[in-house]
Amino acid sequence: MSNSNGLAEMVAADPNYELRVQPDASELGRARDFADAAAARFGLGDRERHEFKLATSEAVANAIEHGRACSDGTIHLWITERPRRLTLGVRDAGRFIPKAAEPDPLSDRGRGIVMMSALVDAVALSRVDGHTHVELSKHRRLTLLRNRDN
Amino acid sequence: MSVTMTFEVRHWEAGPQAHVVAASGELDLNAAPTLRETLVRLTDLGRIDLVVDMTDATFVDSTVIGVLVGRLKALRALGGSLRLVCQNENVLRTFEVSGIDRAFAMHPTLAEALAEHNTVR
Repeated sequence: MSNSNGLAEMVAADPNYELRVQPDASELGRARDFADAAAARFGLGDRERHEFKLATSEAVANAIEHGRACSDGTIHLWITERPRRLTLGVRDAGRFIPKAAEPDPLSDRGRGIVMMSALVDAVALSRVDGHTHVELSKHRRLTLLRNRDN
Repeated sequence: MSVTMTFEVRHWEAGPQAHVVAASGELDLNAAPTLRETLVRLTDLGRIDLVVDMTDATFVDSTVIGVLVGRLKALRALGGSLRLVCQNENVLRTFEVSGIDRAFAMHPTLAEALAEHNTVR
């Protein structure tokens, strides 16, 4: 039973941590629900959940509009949870070249990447095996446990 | 397979000067073309004072903000106006993050947007 996708297909995907969407704008809602569920599990508050969801929506919209589907015809999303950091990755087969900031504040284009950076603690863009990865991370805020006496 | 309505765009005349466009639901890349076409068509019909009512919008993304900014510029160039109605905290936050929230006249209710409109014009 050979499979051109190899190892990745041999591991059953956990729907909480992996999602594949068609490169179509009507799929954005599914991508947002996936991000929102992960943010809720991680324990983010309402405002941060919305920020994570919006940043995800912008990244996936960008892949749909300007990128290209992976070989299976979809855009891949995945979640990585670490104790203090929640990361959502978006992988597509396009070549994402971030544009310089628009000089005109009233431009009607190119606002997505600026918004992503403002919404999450870290945005990482990388080129992996001919694919573009956009990784969005939210850090867990450390609440002050108590006032120290010394 | 059931089809779920994720967004809706309606519009109506609100007096001699203002035309209201109510955009509801999830306003993203999927909804942006419908909203853009509606706003452009109304402008072409000479409705240059528009109020976009997002009271029932649950989500707005950068493409929709781009549509609104594009219309704001076009309407201003024609001597018209574009007012927004929104109270949803998440949607307001989206405008804030986009950095252009101050470019718009933002009102908490449609009644206030229309009242202001009538006193200004």
